[in-house]
Amino acid sequence: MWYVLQIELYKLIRQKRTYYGLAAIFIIESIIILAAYAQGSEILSVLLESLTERFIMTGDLLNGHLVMYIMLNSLWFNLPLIIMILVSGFLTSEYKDKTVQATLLQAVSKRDFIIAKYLTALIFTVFIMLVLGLSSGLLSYAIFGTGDLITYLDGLNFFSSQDAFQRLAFAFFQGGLLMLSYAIISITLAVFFKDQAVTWIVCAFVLVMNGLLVKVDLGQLNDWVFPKIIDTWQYYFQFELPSEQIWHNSLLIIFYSLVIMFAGIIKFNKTEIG
Amino acid sequence: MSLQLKAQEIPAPLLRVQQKLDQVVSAQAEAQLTIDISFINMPEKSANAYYQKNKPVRIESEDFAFLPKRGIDFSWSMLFEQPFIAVDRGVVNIDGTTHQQFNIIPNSDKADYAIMLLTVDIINDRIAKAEITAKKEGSYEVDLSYDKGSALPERVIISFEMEKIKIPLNFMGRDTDIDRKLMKDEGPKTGKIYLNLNWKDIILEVEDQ
Repeated sequence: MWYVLQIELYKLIRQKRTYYGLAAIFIIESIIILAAYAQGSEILSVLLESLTERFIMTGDLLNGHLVMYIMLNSLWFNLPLIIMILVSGFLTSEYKDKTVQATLLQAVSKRDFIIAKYLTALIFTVFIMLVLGLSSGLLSYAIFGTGDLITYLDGLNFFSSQDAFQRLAFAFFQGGLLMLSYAIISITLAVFFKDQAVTWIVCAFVLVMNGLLVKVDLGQLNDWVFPKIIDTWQYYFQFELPSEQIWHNSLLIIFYSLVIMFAGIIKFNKTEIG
Repeated sequence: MSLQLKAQEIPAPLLRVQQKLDQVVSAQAEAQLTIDISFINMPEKSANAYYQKNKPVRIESEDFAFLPKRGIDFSWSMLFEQPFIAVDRGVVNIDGTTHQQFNIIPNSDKADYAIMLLTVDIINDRIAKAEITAKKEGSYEVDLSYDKGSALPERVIISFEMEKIKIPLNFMGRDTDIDRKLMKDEGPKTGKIYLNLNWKDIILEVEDQ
């Protein structure tokens, strides 16, 4: 098993698409920082326009915390899409190149092979999140400094700099958990669809559907269906932290991920290769 | 019966308030500022307040803070700098202390208020409450509480009405556009600012012997 995982990680490091993915993330990151630099003050002034009649505002809200918060908004679609395309490619490209058959002809069990794929996907996603978190943090705080964070969730919320840093860090971890879940979904979709283009389309479809359903009121299902809990990272920016709901949603994301992963493992084991 | 006064004839209670305030040349305070507005969640903020005779109080904060534009003129320069007409509205008893109320109507175009109702503590010569209709910023109320003998308030509550705003802030994710029409989606809301002031470095005017 460990040997198979090492091979998968080696493939990951050698593949060009890994670096294309990293480059795409850096480009998105740079665009967000440039946009914040160019438009941030204007957006904030519009946001707070109606308050300037009554108040004089001190301090600067366009700071590294706000840029990091904007960066976190890429968790909605941009980052999951890149992760899902890259991760599903771990398996679909092997189907396309017929290397799955070649690998399984050797003394590698189907179970070890697919588990190694899942583990590689998880390691890759953790790496991506660490790179994104560290690079965006370094750039944002170096360029914009720190200060209070403003968010708009059921009203305007302001967090002191220290509080904001902690909330952003937790939200990043929460977002990371969601990205791990998307990585698992990608491999499972690749198991079921095999074809690269079809898998990508289904991945994009999953993201779009999640994005649509997260805004729809599903009544009692709100607390239980996957698309309704993908915004859990945003809960960290509510003024009163809903800790119980965050725990509930986190455990539910882990549960869904495990179920989806087991479904993928079972399906792969039952599938005739070659 | 109300009494209309000329600009020079400031009613005695208000004159005593002015004289009491004139004794304070300058002062500094550590201020704790809390905002109570339904759609704004903000932790308590610390600030420094600087008082100078005949000038509005200046408040500064190193953190991000909403500092009130109105209601912090503890020297009442907006009142005493311009001529006004005072209409005596009679005596009221508040918390066992005798207060006298006056309607104040500015007698100069330079005044930035249209009318105000002042409630003056005539025992301690201090303004306890003001309901002010400003020319531009609508109306607001200021409630002032004092320590014994102090000319400057220790606790101030500024109440006002303001429009609720609603804007999506996912400005680099979804809902990038800010729709200004959505900004005023509901009627006016009452807002309050609570200001606690701990005055220090009070410099009093030295009377000539």
